[in-house]
Amino acid sequence: MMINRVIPSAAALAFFTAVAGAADMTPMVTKAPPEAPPSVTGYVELYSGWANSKESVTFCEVGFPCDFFSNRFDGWALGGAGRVNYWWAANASLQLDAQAEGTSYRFTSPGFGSGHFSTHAYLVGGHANWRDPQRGLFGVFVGAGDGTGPFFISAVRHGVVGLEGQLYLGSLTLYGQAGYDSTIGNISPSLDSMHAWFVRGTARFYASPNFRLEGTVLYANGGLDFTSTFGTPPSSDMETWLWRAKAEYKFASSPFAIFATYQGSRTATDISSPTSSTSFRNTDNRVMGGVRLYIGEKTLQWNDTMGTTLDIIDPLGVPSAIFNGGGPG
Amino acid sequence: MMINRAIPSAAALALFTAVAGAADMTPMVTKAPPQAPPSVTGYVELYTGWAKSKDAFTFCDIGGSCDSFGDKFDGWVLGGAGRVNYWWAANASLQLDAQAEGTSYRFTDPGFGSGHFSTQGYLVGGHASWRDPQRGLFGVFVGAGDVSSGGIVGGGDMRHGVVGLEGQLYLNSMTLYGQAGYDTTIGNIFPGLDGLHAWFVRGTARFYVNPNFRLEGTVLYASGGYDFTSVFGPPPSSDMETWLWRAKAEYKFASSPFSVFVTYQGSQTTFDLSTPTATESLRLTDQRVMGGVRLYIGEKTLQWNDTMGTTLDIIDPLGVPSAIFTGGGGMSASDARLKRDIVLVARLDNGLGLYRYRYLWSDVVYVGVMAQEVAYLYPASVVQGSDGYLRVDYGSLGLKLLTWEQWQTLAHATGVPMSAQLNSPVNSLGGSL
Repeated sequence: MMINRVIPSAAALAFFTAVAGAADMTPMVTKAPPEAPPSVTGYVELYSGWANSKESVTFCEVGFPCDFFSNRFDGWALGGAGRVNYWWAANASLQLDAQAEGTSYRFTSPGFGSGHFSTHAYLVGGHANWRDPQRGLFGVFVGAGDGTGPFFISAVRHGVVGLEGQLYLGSLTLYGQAGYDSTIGNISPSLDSMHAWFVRGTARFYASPNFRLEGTVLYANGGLDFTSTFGTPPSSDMETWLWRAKAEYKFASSPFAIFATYQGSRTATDISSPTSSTSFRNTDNRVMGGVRLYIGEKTLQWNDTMGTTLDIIDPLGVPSAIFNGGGPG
Repeated sequence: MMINRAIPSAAALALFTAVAGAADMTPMVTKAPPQAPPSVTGYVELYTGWAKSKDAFTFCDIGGSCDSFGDKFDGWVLGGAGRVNYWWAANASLQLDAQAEGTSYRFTDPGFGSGHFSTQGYLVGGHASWRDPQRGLFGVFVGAGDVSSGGIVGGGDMRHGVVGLEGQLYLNSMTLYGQAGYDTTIGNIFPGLDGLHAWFVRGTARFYVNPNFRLEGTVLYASGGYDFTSVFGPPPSSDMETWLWRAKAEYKFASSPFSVFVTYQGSQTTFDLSTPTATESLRLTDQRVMGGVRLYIGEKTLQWNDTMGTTLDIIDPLGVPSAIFTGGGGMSASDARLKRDIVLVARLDNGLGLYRYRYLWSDVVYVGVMAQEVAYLYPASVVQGSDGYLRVDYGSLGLKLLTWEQWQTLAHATGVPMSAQLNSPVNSLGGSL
C-alpha cells in the first residue's frame, strides 16, 4: 500500500515538477513582454504591371497661333524595394529603404518606325522615429536618388527630406508626410533646379489582421529655377497629384504576401517667358501586382505598429513627373 | 522510513521526469539540426562614394583621317539594395533582390557652361538554388531592370533582362562563387537597332579573416554587341567587351545587426562599330570607391550568412558603370558631333539654322537644328543627356524633326519656301520624335 501511495505521490510530484519545469521554461522563451517587437524586421518586394502614360504639350509664341500635340504610350512597369526597421531604443526606431521603379514604353513614329525607351527612378533613404506601438509615431525622413528627367532632361540627382507621423486607431492607421524634394546641383547653365514641396496622406484599413486596404493621396507644388544670360529667365510652375489604392494579403502561415495597386498621377508644368509659354501635361495610370517576402514580421496589422511601416513617395520621381513620351530625343 | 525512502524515490522520479520533460522540451526548441537556418533572413544596404569616369571616342573614315576626343568626369555614387533569402525546403532556397545605383556627374563645356547629369540603373531579380550549407549551392538566377543608355544607344534609357546559372563552394574560411549568364535589352531600341546583348562570366572569392570580417574579390568579363538591322545596305557590325574588377572588405559588429563595408570597383567597356565607310571606337573606364552600411535581419556572423543566409547577388553587364557611362560621347539626336554630311538648308527668323544631315550610324537624311546652336540662342531648350551629348526640346521651339522626304513633301504640298516649313505646327505631320 505504501508503495501504491508513494507511486501516485511520486507521479503527482513528477507531474507537478514537470509542469513547474515547463512553467519555468516557458518564461525563458516569452520572458519579454508579449508585445515587445523583434529588434530588426523588414521585407523585400518585387512588382510588375501595366502603365498608360499620356503627354500633351502646348506651345504659344507671341504673335503666332499656339501649337499643340499629344501622345499616349503603353508601358511595362517594373519595380522593387527593400526596407528594414530597427528598434534602437524602447520607443525609437530606425528604418532604411532602397526602392526603384521603371517603365519601358514602346513608341511608334510615322516616318521613323518603332522602338522602346524607359523612364526610371530609384531612391535610398532612412527614417528615424519616436514610436509607441499603442499610439503612433513621429519622425523625420531623408532620401536621395536619381530619376529620369522630364522635358528631355537627362537623369538628375535629387534629395528629399521631411516630417512624418502615424496614428494607430485599432483597425485603421493614418499616415501623413510633409517634405521638400529638390534636385542637387544645377542641371544646365540655364536651369538651376527643379523642386517641390509636398504633402502626402495615407489611410490603411485592416479588414482582418492579414488583409489591408490602403488609399494614398500626394500633392506637390514647385517649379523650375531658370537662369538666363539672354534676358529675363522664364518663370515656371509645377504641380503634381498622385492617388493610389492598394490591397495586400499576407498568408498566415507564410512569410509571403501579395498585393495589387492602382496608381494615377498627373503633373502640370507651365513655363513662361516674355515671348512664349509652354504647358506640359503628363498623366500616368498604372496597375501593378507584386509579392512581398517578410522577415521577422507577423500579421500585416502587427507590422504596421511594430515593424517596417514607412515609405517615401518622392514627387520628382513620380511617374508623371519623369515621363517624357517623346522617346529618343 | 518508508516515507523517507519514498520521498527520495519520488524526488528521483520527479527529477528524472523533469529532466525527461526538459529533454522532451529541448527538442521543441532545437529539434532541427543545430545548423538549421532561420526560414527567412536578409539585409538592406545603403552606400555612397566617389567615381571617376573617362571616355575616349575615335571616329575614322575609311581611307581618311580619324577624329578623337575624350573626357573625364568626377561623380558622386549612391546606391542601395534589399535582399532576402527564404528556405522553402531542407536543401532549397529562394532569394529575392532589389538593387539600384546611380552616379551624379558634373560637366563643364567651354562655351556652354556647367551642369550635372546622372547615370543610373536598377535591377529586380530572384535566385532559386539547391543548397547544402556544408558544401555549396547550385542554381539559377533571373533579373530585369532599366539602365541609362549612355553611349550605347541614341535614345532614352532601356529595359534589359538577365538570366544565368550560379554556384558556390564553401571551403572553411573561403567561399568561391561563380556565375555565367546572358544579358540583353528587351524590345528593339529604335528602327535599325534591335538591341544590345552580352554573355558574361563572373567569379568571386570570399575569405574570412574571422567570422565577422570578410575580404572579397570579384572579376567579371562580358562580351557581346549591338544587334543592327538595316534597310540601307549591310548593317554595321559591332563588338562590345566589358571587364569589371572589385575588391571589398566588410566587418560586422558582433553584438549588432549592422555591418560596414568599403569597396573599390573598376570597369572598362569597349565598343567597336564598323560600317562600309567608317569605324567608331569607344573606350569607357570607370573607377569608384564606396563605403556603406548593411542592416541584417535574422543573420548571424558574416561567415554564417554566407552558407545559410543571403549570399547571392547579380552583376548585370549592361548595367556596369562603364557600360552606361558616356560623359562626353555617345549618340543623341541633336548633337552636331553625332552628325555627318551636314548642310545648311535654311535659317529661320529667330536665328536658328536648319540643317540637312545624317547620323553617324544611319543613312536616313533628316532636317533639324544643331543643339550647339540652339544652346546659344535658346538655352532653356537644350539639355545635356546622361550620355553627355546635347538634346533639343523641339516642342519648346515649336519645331519638329523631319526626314528629308517629309521636308520635301511638305514643301511641295504647301508651295511655301522650305525655310518656313520648320515653323509649321508641330503636329502637322503627325507623330513626334
